[in-house]
Amino acid sequence: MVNDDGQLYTIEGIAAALMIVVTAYLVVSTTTVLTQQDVHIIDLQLQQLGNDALAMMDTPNKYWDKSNLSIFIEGNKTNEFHNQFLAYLNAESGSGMITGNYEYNATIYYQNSTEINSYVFYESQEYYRENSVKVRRWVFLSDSSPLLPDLDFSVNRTVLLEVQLWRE
Amino acid sequence: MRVPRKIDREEGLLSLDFLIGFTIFLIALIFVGVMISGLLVHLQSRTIDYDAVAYRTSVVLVEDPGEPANWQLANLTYPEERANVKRLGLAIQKNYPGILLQDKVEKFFNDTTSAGCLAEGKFCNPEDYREKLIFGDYPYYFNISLKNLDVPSPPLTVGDPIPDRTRYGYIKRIVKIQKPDSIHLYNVIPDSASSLKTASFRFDIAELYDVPPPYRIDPLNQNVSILLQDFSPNTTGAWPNITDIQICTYPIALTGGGCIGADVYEDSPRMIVTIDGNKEYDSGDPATNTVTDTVSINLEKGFFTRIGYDRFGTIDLIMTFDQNVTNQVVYSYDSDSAASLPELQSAVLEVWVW
Repeated sequence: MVNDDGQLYTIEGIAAALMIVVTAYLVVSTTTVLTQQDVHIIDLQLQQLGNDALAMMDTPNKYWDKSNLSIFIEGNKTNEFHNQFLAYLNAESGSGMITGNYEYNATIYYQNSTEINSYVFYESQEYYRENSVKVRRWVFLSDSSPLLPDLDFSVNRTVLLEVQLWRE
Repeated sequence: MRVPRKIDREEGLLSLDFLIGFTIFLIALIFVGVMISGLLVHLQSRTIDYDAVAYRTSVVLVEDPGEPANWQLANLTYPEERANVKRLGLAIQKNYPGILLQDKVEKFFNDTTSAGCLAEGKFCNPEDYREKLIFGDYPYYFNISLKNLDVPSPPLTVGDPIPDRTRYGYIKRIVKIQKPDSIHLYNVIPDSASSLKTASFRFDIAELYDVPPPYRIDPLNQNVSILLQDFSPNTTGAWPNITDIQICTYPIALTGGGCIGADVYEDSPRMIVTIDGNKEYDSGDPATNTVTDTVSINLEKGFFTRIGYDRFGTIDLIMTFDQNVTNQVVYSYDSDSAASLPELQSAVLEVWVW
């Protein structure tokens, strides 16, 4: 005969199962799991903001006007570019808390007669290894720019403005 | 019971109790295993979900003209028209993301609490916003704020105050708002120097629509405001009288006289003709329609759509007087007559969801 030593009875089995379920639920519900996606959302917010700011700077206010972005690049108006870009990044409606302290570097890529060249348009701070995003905008130039003397105007009047953007 | 050096016939047997217990345990284990993945997803998605909802809300607001695209014309005192507004996008057109229409912005931020919203013709806060903008089964709280960056003005806000301690989802968008064109000005000349008794204003919609939407003068969807000025008496000292006002499709012959009178509608959107800035034109009482200074004509937005004219048409607004007022066969309603043209102004839109 098999005796009772070391046997698991039905009631005990149910009780054990219940305990496992409850324990698992308690453990899982009290643990906060920090996921990689959190970072992606912050990147997305920054990228969206940068894209919006460039897009709105590239939208003229009146039908026949040039866009501000074209004017800044054509006229080498680095300070105006910096002021407006930063004003857009830091704009607040005033309902919530202030988020801010952005740093960015802006580079212009363009084509001359032989190759693709680049020009550092604005550098607010040297970039080390911060968590950054890059936003880009194709900008149409109707006049030549002193910044880009070798821009091949007969082939291409559009330059690529790339902004690397991060929070301090 | 084991007896040394004797074959035990019950060795290796399992009791029924053990089998049942173990089975229940296994089923419970499998159940927990299946449940754990679901529990984890639920946990992780909390703050991410809020950010995603905030982002989605901002995309609907900024990049979508809404459904229908001219929902700003809907009269919200009628439940049918309110139900017909499916989505509250503020964009001027889907091809121009980030450029908002002033009329939509004004209507969107003109909210009221649930009690009186139907009677006042405003959006109900929060029901309409949850149903037509935030979406989702969960009743999210929200705060949407818009501030003009070019002209100092108080921010427009809809929703609840942002909580200090709860985690919320957030997104900031930079936009431009289109300020529509202002009043259109025209001058008349004295009877002695003129040869025509009719002042005709021509709305060449197809031509106006050649301009891209952000910079367009749009009489179909925006208020039309005309000021006719410089009236003077004729040689006998009599001031001009308005005898008739008609709105017609052009050319009139082709459509078989598609004209309607000025006061065909009592309710909004309608046409309002004001004489000398203080009295309304009354077609039933011609003696009162004497003009000594100016005539202003206001067509409330959506008027042309209401009478069935669309963007392919040309519309004439013909005002007849009892003496000569002009030499010009038609006054063109276009960018030349506008006192100021449509202009874009920068603004920041912020969305909080919790």
